[in-house]
This record gives sequence, structure tokens and C-alpha cells, in this order.
Amino acid sequence: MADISSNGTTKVLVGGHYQVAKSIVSKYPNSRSAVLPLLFLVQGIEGHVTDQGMRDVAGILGLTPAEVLASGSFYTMLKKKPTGEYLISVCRNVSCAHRGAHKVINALSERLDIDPGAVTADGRFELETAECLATCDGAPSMQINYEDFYNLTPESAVDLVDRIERGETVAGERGETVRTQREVSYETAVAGARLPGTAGDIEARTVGGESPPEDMKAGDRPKLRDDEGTHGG
Amino acid sequence: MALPEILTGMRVVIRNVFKGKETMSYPEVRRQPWPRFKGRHVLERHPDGLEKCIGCELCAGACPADAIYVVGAENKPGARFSPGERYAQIYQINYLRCIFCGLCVEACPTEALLMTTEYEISGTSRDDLVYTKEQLIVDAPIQRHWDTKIEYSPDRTTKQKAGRDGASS
Amino acid sequence: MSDNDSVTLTINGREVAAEPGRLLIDVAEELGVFVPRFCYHPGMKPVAVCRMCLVQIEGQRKLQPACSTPVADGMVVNTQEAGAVDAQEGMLEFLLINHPLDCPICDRGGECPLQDQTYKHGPGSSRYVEPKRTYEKALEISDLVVLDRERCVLCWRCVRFSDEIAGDAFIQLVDRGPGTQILTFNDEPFDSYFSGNTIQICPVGALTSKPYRFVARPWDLKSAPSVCSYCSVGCPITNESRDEKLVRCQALPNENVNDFWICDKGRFGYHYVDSDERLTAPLERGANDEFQDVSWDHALERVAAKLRDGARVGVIAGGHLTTEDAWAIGKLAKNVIGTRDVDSRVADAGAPYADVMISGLSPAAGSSATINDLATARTIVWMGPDPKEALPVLYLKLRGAVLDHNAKLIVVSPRRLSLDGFATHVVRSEAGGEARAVDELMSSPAADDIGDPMVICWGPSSPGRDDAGVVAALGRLGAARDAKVLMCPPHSGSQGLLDMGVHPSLDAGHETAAEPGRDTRAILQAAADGRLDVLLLFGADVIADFPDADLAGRALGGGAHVVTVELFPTETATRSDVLLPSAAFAEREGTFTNLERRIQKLEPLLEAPGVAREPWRICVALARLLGDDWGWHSFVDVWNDIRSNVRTHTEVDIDALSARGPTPAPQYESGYEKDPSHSGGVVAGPGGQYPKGYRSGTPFQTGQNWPLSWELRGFEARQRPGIVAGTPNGARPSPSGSTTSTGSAAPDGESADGFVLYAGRMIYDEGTMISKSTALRHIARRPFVELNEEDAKELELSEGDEAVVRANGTEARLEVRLADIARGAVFIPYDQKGFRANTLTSAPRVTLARDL
Repeated sequence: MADISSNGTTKVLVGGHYQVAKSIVSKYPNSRSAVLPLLFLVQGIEGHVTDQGMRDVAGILGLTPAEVLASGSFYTMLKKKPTGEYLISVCRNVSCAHRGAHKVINALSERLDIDPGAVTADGRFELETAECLATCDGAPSMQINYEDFYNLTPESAVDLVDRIERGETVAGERGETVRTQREVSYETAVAGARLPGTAGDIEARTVGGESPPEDMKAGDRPKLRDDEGTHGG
Repeated sequence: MALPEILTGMRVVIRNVFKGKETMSYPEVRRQPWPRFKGRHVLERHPDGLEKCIGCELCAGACPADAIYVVGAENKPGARFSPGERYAQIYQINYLRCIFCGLCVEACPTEALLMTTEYEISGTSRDDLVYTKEQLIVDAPIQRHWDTKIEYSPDRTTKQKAGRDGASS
Repeated sequence: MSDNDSVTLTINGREVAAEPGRLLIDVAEELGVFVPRFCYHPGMKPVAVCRMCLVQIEGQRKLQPACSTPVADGMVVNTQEAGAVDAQEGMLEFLLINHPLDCPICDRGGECPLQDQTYKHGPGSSRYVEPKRTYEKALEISDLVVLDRERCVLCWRCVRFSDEIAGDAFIQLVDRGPGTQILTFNDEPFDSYFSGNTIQICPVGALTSKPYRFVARPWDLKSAPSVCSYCSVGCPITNESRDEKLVRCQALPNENVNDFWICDKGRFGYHYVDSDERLTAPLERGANDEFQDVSWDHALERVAAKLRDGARVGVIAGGHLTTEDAWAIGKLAKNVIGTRDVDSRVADAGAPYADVMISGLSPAAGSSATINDLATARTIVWMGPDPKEALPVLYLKLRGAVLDHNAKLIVVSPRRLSLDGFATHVVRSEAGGEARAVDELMSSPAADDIGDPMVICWGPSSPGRDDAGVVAALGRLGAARDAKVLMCPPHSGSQGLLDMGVHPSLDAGHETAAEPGRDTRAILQAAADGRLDVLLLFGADVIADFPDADLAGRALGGGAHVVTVELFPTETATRSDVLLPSAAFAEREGTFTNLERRIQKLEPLLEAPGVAREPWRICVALARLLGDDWGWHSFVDVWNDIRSNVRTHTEVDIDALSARGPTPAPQYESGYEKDPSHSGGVVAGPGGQYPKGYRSGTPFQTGQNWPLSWELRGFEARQRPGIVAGTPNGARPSPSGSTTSTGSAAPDGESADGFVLYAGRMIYDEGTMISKSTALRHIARRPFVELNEEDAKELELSEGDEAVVRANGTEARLEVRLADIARGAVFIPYDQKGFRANTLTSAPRVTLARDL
């Protein structure tokens, strides 16, 4: 019964997920700081940030659902609508545009039979155009679930899609395997959280950052190195 | 001695005897006012039939004689009177108070309220002279108390069979 | 030049001294320099998001927002330099880019800070030609509030209010970025008891009131300052009417009472005044048991005839009467009729108010602390009803005291209260064990590092609580800490009635009566037993409100001649013999005395329906017929009498109550200043004194002065602070002087079975007044019974089940809610949909069973 919320929908953060959420919260000195990781957790479980997920996050953090929505709705990586398993973001800014990003976009659009911003009928792919991905040296570039791919041609981009569709493992420019949207969201959520029984694997990597040092406890703030923190005023 | 004066006087009299009459046998004969004459009001409609009046009460606020009374209400699906959210549920102009200054027309943000050249506003009770929205709306017939057979143009140069005074166009 | 207590700065070339730490925008305003603003509100912390108040400060490279810049010594500020003016114009042009041209249909139009400031500080024309941003219009985000996002200028006021002040962060800025908008969470309503305040502080028409939607334009309104007629906090409000109908109530600021806020009950609960059900003429029960209209003379003569010749009379007054009514009723009963059987406690029957004085907590049967004392206390002990439901604005004050002033709040209650969320310590007392919990408080962990001053808040609770014991225990606690008390009686008039001695054991001025009379319960009992000839009920709906509905019913049928002075044909009224119509709060001059004993004035705005009169005039007429001419013809006459007879009120200057204060409202520079060519008028920039006409001369004209926005109208009103009456300084009465019964047998613990019954008021219920509110009557909830989970398990009840609740032979079927409540206790709200709790509250204990 506890899994059903007052309005009749099934709660998202229950059971094991609730335990994970709790351990994420314990990482922060101020529990409401955990709102974004928890939203990623919801996205990792549900595929996108559902209303019930936001209610659950609010319940865990002692916020109102409106406050959770207010924070969550700012971030484009938190999807409010059902999203594709693989999100393809093609840069359309100056460097990439000069080197033919629009051809890549058109080719992908044709291959997937969707316009940018839409999800394929089978829910596997979502195509979007992105602002600068900070990889101008590899223009035209794109990301599949936030893994970079450089120096694309329409053919190579379509080939990547084909390979993913065939179930092949695809690695990005940095050597990381492209994983599904849910996996990436989940990983983002639990990065740095010390989860009972899942040491190592799950906290191995923080998306876009480093793992916390071994001796860091929940609630600790990272220590500044000696040469840090003394920006010239 | 007084003869020149008498003759002068007679000249005026004789000249005027043969001049056309200024008076006319109103109400059978009637003269149309000039087009910009400020007479009684009319509430316009949009081409699609919705009322232009949105019940904003700016006319009532502008009225120096406190002659206009408006109560707004909300358009509901199924009961739409005007475009947008608000319409005039009650719209009354009290012609006992109205001084025909036209400030209300100037205040109207939707050009819903206009003045016609109609000046025949009379009644047998005070209540008769508080015109309601049903009387003021453009497609309500302008009521006259008497039939007019002949109507002159404002400068009286042309004469026509009386019809309705469509001054609101 | 300046010392620690003050800094000197220059604003627009004028030197001014100010306290350090104050905000530039406030200091400038006091000087008469109005800095335009949208997001800044004196009741909330500044955020500086609207950028409208940018001013030039010498030595600063960029313009600074006046609303978040504290004054500093030697600061040279200019609000009218080209730079600042350019910024203001630029900001307004930006704000207006997406603002729709809705003014003609917008409820804010005519009293809109955006309109006003655009006239005064705006660029005059826009260079923006692209299409405006659009949203779905008129979104109903609750039963009371309508949201139009197109009009929003993103000032955050509503968001800050609901988060900072009310603690109900249900409205937020979402989709932040170019598409930022105000919104609630999906389909969840903006379900706050204080949501109406966001309408009032919205500087545009983005949040508007649903009940007031399209009802009137500001220039239609006549307004008068008044005091809310619901609870005993006594928030100052304006009543605003159109065509002799009350159409809107808004908060007036008073930093001593409500700051800037009122609750939604006070804001939207006014419809009862214009209800068609109001009594308009005296009614008399005729031969065939039907009421017939009679003249005042006839009705009063008939009542007087019954009162003559040593009739045995009981007088009961309800809690919504004014101080003047209270004085007249007390005088009529004691001096003219000669009965001491007079009481003003109906819903709170038996509440030991006099014990507050006897226990030494306060020199009066009322508060010794003011609301300001509460707001600045170091320690607060809460022993009253749930303030969010019963005294909503006091809840805001308590919240502010704890969260902003770091007061320690200790809540002693057998059930979870709204305060628990931010209380420093929650003492969950046993069912009926509050007195013991109070006694043990000082040796419990809750007492660690508590500081002085301490304010003890006590309000009567339900029959289950041994209130006399609680007050005695609080007396001991108060003596130990030298604490002050804030006594919280339930209704707007309750304290005034106590002050004026409408109480069986108190005389006016909190003097103990030599021979105490019967209290409400005893009066009703006497009437039920046929030992009363006449029962006079002034606004007292005993059947609906008295905790024992059965006794009340028997009392009315006990053969006594029942005379009722009422607004409505309530159930009590329809069972009486003579019914006299009373004027409501918006129709009369009068005063309410609030829970801190602050006297605030009601100004008349409407005509009473038919021939309804103020209750004190009825008393005057009855006294005259009984041979005692008091010679009162006006409100002032009543007060002259009060001042010469009530020792606590001798100093009350009744003129000061209505005066707006010694200093005139600030007149603003350039465009806001007084025009010497007009006598008393204020020039309003474009439009002059528009609108004018029949409304001029009434106080608190909406739209009479510039700027029209409510804040500044409010600043004028702030100078109606009311007067806290003096306290008696004579000897304290000894406990033996009290014969106040507690109304019910104190629960004797182990021997009794069943559950200790706690009954309490929810903010929205089916009370006589609030049920007439078209806005609020749908919000009342289904009746329920709150129960501890363990107890429920034993009874095999679970959440949502229907339980049969029995007491004294009556029973009710109520929905079970599992709650944080002490074992052995149940809570039942009063007057929820279709259920009168007072059929159950006759006994301190109830039994529960599963519905089979």
C-alpha cells in the first residue's frame, strides 16, 4: 500500500530505489541539495522525470513538488517527456555548421525518419540539435547520450545509429561505451554515493568529473588543494 | 421722418416672407443632424457578431455625469458574448444624466461605444430613459415615438423619404 | 557627524540620517523620494530581481538596486540622474515587451503598480514590434486564485511570500530561462490558507481573485478600514463595496498585528454580509407558530414586558460582538435586568479565562503579552489550538519568530499541530495529560538553553482537555520564568466581551464579581429545567456552537421565552420567540478587541439590511423600556460611558482609533507631490485626479491618491495601530474568588474508558458566517476522526474506514485518519461538511468502533 501515493499512481522511489535515494541524500550536508541527483535517479528508473517521481523526491527532501519542479525544469538534461533510449545531440553552432553539421542533421533525420526534437516511434532514438558542445576541434561533432563523436560525416553518423540499432557496442571519442539514457541518468544520480553492496562499480566514475577520494565520508566537502582557493582578488 | 426706418423694416419683412421657412412640422418632417452630431449611443458588434464591448467600465469611469453603469462578467465556453475574457453583463446609460460630451466614446478602448445622430430621446418615466444594453446594441431598432414622413439633409438642400437614421456607420 | 546609531547620507541632494543596515529604498521613501519598484516588498526579504529600483550612488561604477543596498555613511544617492532614469525607462520597456494590453479587462487595471509606474517612470512608447509571448490565459490555480502568466513580470513576490512567509511553497518559477513562468506543480492547486495575499501583493494582474473576478473596477469601489470579523487576531482590513454590496476585503498593514497579511478566510469570507438570508426586520412567533414581521417598538415592548417584574433571565453573548455591544449587554444584564447570569463563552464554554488572571499569568483575563512580544520572544510555549487553522495570521507570526528571529518554540500538544514542522521542541503529551506535561517541561530536555523573555500562548481547547489544570500549570511555569502570556480566545469579539465583563465571575475591567453568576452551561441547564423565564441570546447560536447540542436544544425547549439577536435565522434563532436583526461588522461603527487586547476600529461602509440595528442599540432601547435611559445615541456616547466606568479603559482615546495618525502620509517627489492649487488633492501625473466624482471624500479611496498600489495606501493605514487597553493594577483576585466551572468533568484518567476527545476548528467549516461565502463554502472538508495508529490497530480500523463514534448516546460515522496523535486521544474537527461535532462533544470521552 505504501507504494501507492495519495493520488493513486505508483510511487517511483520505493524499496531499493528508496534506499539509494536515502544514501544520495546522506551525501549532502543540506538535504535539499540532493534534488538534482534524485531527479536523475527518477530519470534513471523511469526514463524521464515523471510527475510522481517529482512528488517522491519532494516527499524525501521535505520540499513541495512545486519546488522540485522549479529546480528540475531548468535543466535540459532532465527530460519531462518520455525520451528516446539514445539521445543524439548534434551541434549546430558556428564551427560545426561550417563543417557541415546540417548535412549530418539531415542525414540522421532521414535515417531515423523524425525531425530534430522528436523521438522515433519505437522509442529508441531521439534527435536534437544542440548548442556548442565545446568540441570545436572535432567539428562537426555530436553526442550520443552525452558521449562525444568527432569529425562526423553524414555517413559515419548514420553508421553509428545503425550499429546501435544492431545492438553493437559503440564507444565515444573518449573511449567510453555509449550506454542507454537510463543507465547514464542512474549513474549521474549515484555518482559519489556510497551504496551498500555496490561499491566500486557504481561509484567508479562521476559523469564529467572524478570519483570522490576513498577516505571521503558522506557529507564531507572536498578539500581544496593547497594551491586552490586563492584566486587573486 | 420715420419713413426710411419703416421702409428698411418692410424690406426685411418682405425679403423674409419669400424665404423658405426655418421651422418644419416636426415630427412629420424632420431634419437630419450633421454627421458629427453627438446623439444617443450605440454599442457596436464585430463582423462575426460578437460584441465589441468588453465591459471594462472605462466609459463609466470617464463619464463626468456618472450616467453609465456597467457590470462585467466572464465569457464562459458556451456563453460567449465578446472576444476575450470579459463582457458587459449589464450596460446602462442614463439619458437623464448624459450630457452628450462624448468622453465615453473617447475612453472606449475597443471602439464599441459610438454616438449616433439620434436625438429623439424622450420618455414618460424615468426608467424609460435608462437605456439598457438590449436597447443600445447596434442591431436593436432605434425607436421613435412618431412616424416621420420626410427627412431633410443637415443643410436642408435635399429632401428624402424618411428611413432609419443610420448614423453609426 | 554620525555615531553608531545613525549614518548620514544624501539622497537627491537632501541630507538624511538613518539607522545603519536599513535599506536605501525605505530610507528614500521616508524622505519622500519614491524609488520605483516591483519585487521589493517591505514585508519580505529583498531579492533585487526586477531591477526597477536602480539608483546612482556616487563612487559606484554601476547603478545599484536601492532595495538591496543598505545605507552607508556619506553615501550620495541620486534617483533622478540621467543614468538612473534611463535604467528605469529601459527596465519598464523591457517589462512591457511581453506584457499584454489587457488593462481594460484586467482586475488590476486602475490600481496597478505597473500601470502607475509606467505612467510615471516609463518610456512612453515601445520600440518592440515583434509578437508578444503568449500563454493560456486565466488559469485557475486554486478555487480562489486565477493566474495569467502573460501579465507576469517575474518579480517573485508570490513565490517569496508563499515560501518565506506562509511556508506553503506551492507556486514557483518553472522553466527558468527565456520561458520562465509562474506555475504550480502540474495539476496540484495553490492550496494555501494564505494564497489571497499573493493576489494583493502581485504588482500586476497576473494573480487575481476568483470571487472578485470582473466584479468591479477600482473606481467603482467605496472603501472603509475595518477589522476582520472572524478570529481573535483582529487583522485590520479594508472593506470595499460596489453598489452597496461588499465585494472585496484586503489586508491593511499593521506591523503590530498582521504585518501585511491576512488569511483567506478573512479575505474571502465576507459574503455573509450581503447574504439574502440576513434578517431584515424583527420577527415574532405568532399564534400559529409562524414568524411574522413586527415593528421594533412592538418587538422590544414585548421583550421588555417579559423582562419586567423579577423575571429570571439568562444572557448569553456570542463571540463576534463588538466591544460596545459587550458593554451594553453587560450593563443591561447586570444594572437593568439585575441578573448575574451572563456569559460570552459559547463554543469555548467553560474556558477558564479568569484563571489566567488568578494563576498569576496576567493581570487581566487576557494577554499580558502583545503580538509583538511574541514576535520578539526568545522562548515561546504553545498550548493553544492549531494556530494555522484557528488563528492563521498568528501562525505566520509564530513562524517568523522561530525562523527569522530564532525563538525557541516549544509545542505541547497530544496531536500534531501545524507548528511541529518548525518547532524547536514538540512535547507530545498524553491524552488529557497536558497539565502534567507542562509541569515536567522545565525538567525536560526541551528546557535546555531556553532564554528570556518567554511568552506562553494559551487558548482554550476542547472538552477533553483539563484547561483549568493546564492554566494552573502554566501559571506555575510562568511564575518560574517571569513569562508573559498571550491568551487566545477564539473569536473577533471574545476578548472585548471579557474586558467588558460579559462573564459570570468577572466585571468590566477584569474585576472579580462579588457574587458570580451562572455560566453558559449552567444557564442552559437552568433553561432546560424550566428555571429561567427569559433567555437572551446575542449572536449566540447555541445549538450549532455550544459543545453540548443536546443540552442547548433542551434549553430552547425548556419553556423560557427566548429572544435572539442575530444576523441569520440560525437553528437557534428559528427556535426562539422573538428574533431581532443585527447589523454586521461592515455596516457599523465599532471596535473589536483582539487577543492581545488591542482595540481597533470598524468604520461603517454599508447600510444594514432592512431595519437591522447594532446590538448595543437594542440594549439601549430595552433599557429605556425598563426605565433606565442611558442617553446613548452614538458610538462616542457608548465610549464615554465605557471610559468613565471601566477602569482599564479610562485612557482609551476613541478619536485616536479612527485618526490616521499625527504625521500625514508621505507625499512623493515629482509627480507624487501635493499640488498647491488643489486643496487636499494629490496630483496624479497624466490623468490628474482621475477618477473623481461621487467617491471623493470617503476614507481610503482606491485610486484617490498616487501611487494607487496598495502598499502605499497601506502605509497610510499603518498609522491606525489601534490601542492596547490598560491592565488593571489592583490586587490580584485570590483563587477562592473563582467559581468558574471548567464546563466538564476533568478526565480522571484510568477509570474512564473510551478516547479523550479533542475537537478543534479547521479554517474552513460550515460555520454560520463562512458557509455564506460563495468562495469558501465548497472548500470545507469531509468530517473525519483522527486516531493513533496503534489504537486503530486494536480497533481494526485503517485509514479511510468509517468509524462509529459514540458519546452520551449520540453517534456519528466518521472517516478514520491515522495521525500523529497521542494514544487514547481522538481529534474531531468542528462543523465539517454535514456534521456538527458538538453533538459529540458533550462528554470528554467518546468510544470508537468499527462500522459493521
